[in-house]
Amino acid sequence: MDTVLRSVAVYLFLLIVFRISGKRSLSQITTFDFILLLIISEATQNALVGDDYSITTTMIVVVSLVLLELFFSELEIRWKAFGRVAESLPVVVVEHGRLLESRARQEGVSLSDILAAGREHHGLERLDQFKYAILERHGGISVVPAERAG
Amino acid sequence: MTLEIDEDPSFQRKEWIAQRFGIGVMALLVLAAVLGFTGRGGPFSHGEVDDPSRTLRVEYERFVRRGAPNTVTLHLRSVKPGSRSFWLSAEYLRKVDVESVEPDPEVSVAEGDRYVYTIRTNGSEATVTVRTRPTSAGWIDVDVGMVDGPSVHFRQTSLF
Repeated sequence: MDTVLRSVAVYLFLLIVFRISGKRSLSQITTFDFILLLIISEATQNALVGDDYSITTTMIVVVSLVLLELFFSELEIRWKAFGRVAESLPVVVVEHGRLLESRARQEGVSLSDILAAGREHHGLERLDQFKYAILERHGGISVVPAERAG
Repeated sequence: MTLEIDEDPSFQRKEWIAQRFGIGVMALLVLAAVLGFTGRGGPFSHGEVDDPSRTLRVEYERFVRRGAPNTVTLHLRSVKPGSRSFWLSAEYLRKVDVESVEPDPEVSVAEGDRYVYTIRTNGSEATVTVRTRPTSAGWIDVDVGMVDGPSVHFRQTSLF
């Protein structure tokens, strides 16, 4: 029982921490994010398994975390308000070629991130070729290109 | 123009069924863990054995995990102040590593097929905590007793 309770506690703690840190926190792993991730996993390992090296513990921890994840996704589907709280909402950061600066700053998205997303998926060269850029719930940026004249 | 996609609805249906089954198995594992069938807390994990003369009571975990610590607590009653000796069977100690005995024994000696620990007591009751870590999986038969006194037997299930 102790192992399940520890898994639930660590899952909820990480969920809250990453939710507070914003959508962009782990969507694109930079070198620093990678180091952060390693440190977080090292730190949480102690809380999850302590000095218990058994396979049973590992299995219970993994299965508890996976089931929690499934349970939370199910809650999000059934109960929209829960989805907002747990996973946030999409945010429009570019509208008709215009950067919505305060929103972008609030979400920690830079203009270069937005332009990169446009280049990657649509080969867009300039901001005026964007109809919309949207920061999605998962932290990625999706782009709707402006309709080309002619 | 049709969508060029490698889709197979009948395979997909089987995959969904397999996933549902897998989730059910995982849920059962977590339920078993919550109830205590995999050790470390839960209503079914705690075991207790008392000798008929009620001089020795032992609390233990029914389910332990190989490589994970667990605690066996001995309650020694009607003991005279001074030194008191209890023993653990050598067969038990072959299957576990003893990490600590509290209070620290004054003496611990191997005596035939058992290990005898002597502690100092200062009252009619004494509680001794033995912290062990199983080194193998399977059933572990445990014999514990007081020297020149009663003994009890119980069994722990050690999981991988």
